[in-house]
Amino acid sequence: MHALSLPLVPRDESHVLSLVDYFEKPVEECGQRRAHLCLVTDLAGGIVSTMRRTYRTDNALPIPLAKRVLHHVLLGLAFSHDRGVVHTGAMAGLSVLYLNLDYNRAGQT
Amino acid sequence: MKPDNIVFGLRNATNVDECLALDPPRRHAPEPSWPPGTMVEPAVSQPFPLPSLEEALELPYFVADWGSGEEDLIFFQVIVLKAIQLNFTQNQTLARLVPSFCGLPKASYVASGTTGSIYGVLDVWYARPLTLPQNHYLTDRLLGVRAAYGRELVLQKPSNFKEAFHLWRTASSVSDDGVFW
Repeated sequence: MHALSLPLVPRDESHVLSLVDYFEKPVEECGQRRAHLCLVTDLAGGIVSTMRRTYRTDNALPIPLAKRVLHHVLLGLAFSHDRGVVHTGAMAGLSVLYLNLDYNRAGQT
Repeated sequence: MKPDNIVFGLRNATNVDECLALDPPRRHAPEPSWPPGTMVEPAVSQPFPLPSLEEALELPYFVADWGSGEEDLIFFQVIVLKAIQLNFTQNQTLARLVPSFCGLPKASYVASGTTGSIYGVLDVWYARPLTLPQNHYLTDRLLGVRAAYGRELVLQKPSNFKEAFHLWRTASSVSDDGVFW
């Protein structure tokens, strides 16, 4: 994440969440002292899953919005690949996005 | 990638200070946790108001959750393959050779008989697409990975992403002489 946060391009053009800072917070878990790694990132408005629940009753994004999200996600992945970083969490192939698209309406846009 | 791992930018009209004033940070009531006798007060999730659909169509979106991101892909591939070979040697469960995946020149081994071996095979399928050039990463891999498993592996471990990740973690602890630590 640090490698992706170098100030090479404006944040809105990178489409990856930037790392501003990080610190460790001591905690006690299961009777043991541990340190939680806390990441300070850009302030975001929220996560896309809340949009899915709000904009459509069938838990799918409207096609125009899904296309915009997918476009930006692909730009973000391309940005990271250019810097030699693979997300690895994208191995499912953005499955949630395409599985929830409304295929019956796809031809209308 | 889950929608939880895609975040959207703030609307220009969002006044953070005003939001904090209207809805100050809160915590849930104390509740018991582990170990016995421990009480915790989790923070209440207090998201910003959602934008309208029209506003959402103007917002930027960002890929988040880089907790599994990797920089050194070549090393990743080599070390995973080493772990697979080690697994074969230890369990002697090499079953057969399968064709290359997504046009890659090398074939991959498929092992059967032990859970560990099956996990290893699945990770090979994932490790290689990760090392492909960018255009392959975004096209061939996504279209071909499921078909490349073959029916028997799909039946045994469909969509096995977590196991692939765990094997990678295991592989990263393999030393040059094949010893796990």
